[in-house]
Amino acid sequence: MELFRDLGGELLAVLTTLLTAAPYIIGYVLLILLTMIIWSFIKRMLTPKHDYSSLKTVTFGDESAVTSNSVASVVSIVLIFVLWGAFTGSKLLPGFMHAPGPFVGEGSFTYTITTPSGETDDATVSVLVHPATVETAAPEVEPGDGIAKNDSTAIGSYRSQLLRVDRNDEMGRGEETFITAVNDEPIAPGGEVQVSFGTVAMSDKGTLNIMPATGIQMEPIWLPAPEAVWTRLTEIATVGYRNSTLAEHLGYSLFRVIVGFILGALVGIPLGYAMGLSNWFRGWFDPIVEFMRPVPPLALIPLVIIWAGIGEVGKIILLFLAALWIMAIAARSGVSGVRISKVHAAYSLGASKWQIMRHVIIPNSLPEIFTGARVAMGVCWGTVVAAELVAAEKGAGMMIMVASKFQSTDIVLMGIILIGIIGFTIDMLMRWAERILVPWKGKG
Amino acid sequence: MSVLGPSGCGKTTLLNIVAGFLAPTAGNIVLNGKKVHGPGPERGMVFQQGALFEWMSVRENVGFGPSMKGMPKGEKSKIVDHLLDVVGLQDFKEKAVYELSGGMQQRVALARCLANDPDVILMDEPLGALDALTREKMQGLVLKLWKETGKTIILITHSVEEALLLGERLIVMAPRPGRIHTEYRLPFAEMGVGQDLREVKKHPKFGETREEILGMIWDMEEEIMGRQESA
Repeated sequence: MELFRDLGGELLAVLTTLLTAAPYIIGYVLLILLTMIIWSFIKRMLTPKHDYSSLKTVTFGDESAVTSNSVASVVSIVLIFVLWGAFTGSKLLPGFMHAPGPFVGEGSFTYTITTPSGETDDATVSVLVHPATVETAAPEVEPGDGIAKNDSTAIGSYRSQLLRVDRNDEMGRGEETFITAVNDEPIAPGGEVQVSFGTVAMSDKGTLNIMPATGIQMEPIWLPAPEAVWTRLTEIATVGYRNSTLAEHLGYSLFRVIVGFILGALVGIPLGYAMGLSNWFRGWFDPIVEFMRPVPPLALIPLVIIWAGIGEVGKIILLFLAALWIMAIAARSGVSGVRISKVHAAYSLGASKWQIMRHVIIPNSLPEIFTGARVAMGVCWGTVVAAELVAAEKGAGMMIMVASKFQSTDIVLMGIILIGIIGFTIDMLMRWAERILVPWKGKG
Repeated sequence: MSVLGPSGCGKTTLLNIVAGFLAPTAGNIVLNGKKVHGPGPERGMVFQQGALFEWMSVRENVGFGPSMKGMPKGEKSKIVDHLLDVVGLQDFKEKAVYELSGGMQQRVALARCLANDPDVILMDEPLGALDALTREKMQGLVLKLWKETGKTIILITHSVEEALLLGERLIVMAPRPGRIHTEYRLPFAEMGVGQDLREVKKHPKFGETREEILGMIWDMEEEIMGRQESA
């Protein structure tokens, strides 16, 4: 019961988070609709459509009338970069497109102290907010007259500072003298006052907490600007990261995937053929394959590390296992999928068993095998990155995992983008090979 | 020879036994004095559709039988060219079979079967999936090939007209158990060679026989239904 209560609490937390994100999601959807309306307007102005689909009166629900609009794709990708740039204060974007950034510069506020006898005095606090990466000293100020003395401080942007401004005053807490107002607005412990550069709050003990405005941009440690990621990319491509260049990291990952996949296919395809052609082999391997197939390859990582360590052998064994079952099942269904009339036709044309294998069964199973290979390559790529996250000395996954430990968000982002691009490229290459090598796919 | 009968009477089973894909529960199939065990190239078979090898071009499909026998290339391509001429597909030689229409695909299947020079050609509703017009053209082609090659053709069909037009002998089968019900000897196939098949259909005897056979099959179907209802 306790478990259900805990899980219920977690669910509630997730839903709350989603709810806070809802306005942004709605805003994004409205943006999509807005660009759609704008584009359909522009298109009507530019090129009236004259092809067959423009004559269709029923398009809603007609699957063939829906194609991917490449303008929408371009706008969507551009928008991602624009939003990325706007919320990181990217230099690639003109300043007016930036989301409000953190306050940087000089500001000041006054505070008022009240002595037990009811006397009051004001003093000014000069605040210098500087970029967090630049060390800056607090400005020099005259102490001024009266009981309260002027103060100054320097704060890095996105940071805040608890400052005992009354420490240098002639009468302090020891004399029952307290700060009672900021910028002439009364303040009490726990309260806060808006000032020109942000907020000044008072802690429970009566200390002022100076919080310069942070704006709604992301701090580079959460999300670096696009150009920072690009700079890091060129740097790692030439200098390297953790003793290896970018090409080495990616090359190692790809090497593991390709070797693991090829080994898996070399064993898996004959295994699938055997299972598709012989009752005995089918019976023998069915329980093994059907059990191993639903086991995610990632769940095997600990066992593989125990058995083979974190070197290349372990990774390749893991990827071999990831590809093996997929390829075996693809080859099996490719063989079982051959239409009996094709086999009969080949027999009545005088083909021997071996010739039927070579000229009918194998070519007939190739489309299925290619589909399996595409799936297997995708799974292998995902698995290798995950395996490198756990333990590796080189590789794309290792690179982003180590970078995250040092809070190098730029490297993490760069790695994720590269991993995505490579995965996409692998899929495209497999599709291309499929079109070239098995053009009869789906035409039987 | 055409074989006709209501659905489920065992026409295709009969053909599969002749082809050697099935063993008969009783009796033998004897061809040229030899008992048949399993499939063989002397009995070529033309299937309804989808039995072409879509990974091969038209030329490779037609040349499949000779290739399996290990025939030299020159000889093989002579046969293939000749047969493609006969079925009128010379221009489509290098095309993939899935680029052809249904009627063209069946012409490839015919040519593929003939390339092996079989003694008997078994046809399992080869024109069943074609549209009426293409079907009529193909019937003319089958007649022409029958006459030119002088081969025995066993044709299974569910169209009474097709059976009458193409069958020198016509066998009507009856179901449960599958058996030969009636055998006809017909003149229409001879008449149809090189002729307009529509003219043949106008022959008074043609209509008469068609009605007779239709009635026969109709009665069988009724009987099956009746038996099912009483059961």
